[in-house]
Amino acid sequence: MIFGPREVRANERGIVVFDLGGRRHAVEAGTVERIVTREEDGWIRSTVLGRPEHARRGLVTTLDGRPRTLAVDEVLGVERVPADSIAPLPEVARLTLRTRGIAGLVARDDELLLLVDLPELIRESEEESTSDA
Amino acid sequence: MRELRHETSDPWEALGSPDQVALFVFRLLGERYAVHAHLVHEVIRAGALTRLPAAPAFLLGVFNHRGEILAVLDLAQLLAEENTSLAQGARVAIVQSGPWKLALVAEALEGLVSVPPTALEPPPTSWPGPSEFLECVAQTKDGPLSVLDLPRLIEVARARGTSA
Repeated sequence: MIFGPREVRANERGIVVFDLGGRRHAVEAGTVERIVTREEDGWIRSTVLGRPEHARRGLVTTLDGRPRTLAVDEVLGVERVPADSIAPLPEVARLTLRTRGIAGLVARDDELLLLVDLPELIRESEEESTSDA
Repeated sequence: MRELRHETSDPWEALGSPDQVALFVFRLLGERYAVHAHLVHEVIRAGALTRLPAAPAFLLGVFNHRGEILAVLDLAQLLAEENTSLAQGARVAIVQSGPWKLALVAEALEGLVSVPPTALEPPPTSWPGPSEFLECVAQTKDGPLSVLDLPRLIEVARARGTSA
């Protein structure tokens, strides 16, 4: 894990901010096992977030007991943010988005970042790959 | 609001008057439409829009309004599958319908108009738009005004999104 359980206070959440396809997104740090730099086969490159342009970093998570890596262009930072800066998707969006890979939103400075559910995003991508095959 | 139309007296007073029906008027697809004014919380300039992946076409994105994150719906998409462009700083109407609080974008937001209940007529059978969304037609001095059934519109939007 990027943050240990004692490193984030109760009123804080740890997030990893990354760039993918020219947009900044966030993911809960607790779902990222590690950040890797060596490009490897088997990285997940196509999700509802689009495709990375350079794939310089990989976010590793565990799904069904196995490590999976999402290719991203860059990791911009690992941050602690106030817990109340993270919000769920508005109900209309939650009910109508055709993806399970977005867990909510992070209000950060003047922007809203998508809070990605990394395991679900990867699961969904793999399901679509299987159904396309 | 850019313009406040007076069919009778002060449209704001009509919000609490049993003798008048207050409507919030906007322009869409080249026509004038309205929803019941009590559903409209405020009109604001939208902040930076965050687009959502895998969203239905009518869901333009979300933005942060005083710490509350609101979804932005494109009415033209829901009514006729046509796009309304939302420029930075464009005005949106924040509405509440039951549990749903969201922002609506239209070509232009005109403002309030109040009419007597007798000016409301059932929807014509020949209305060119999707009649499932039309609650009634208000006869005003500027011509007929199509009054949308906003709760129905939002419910259909939700159902369309989940069934797509």
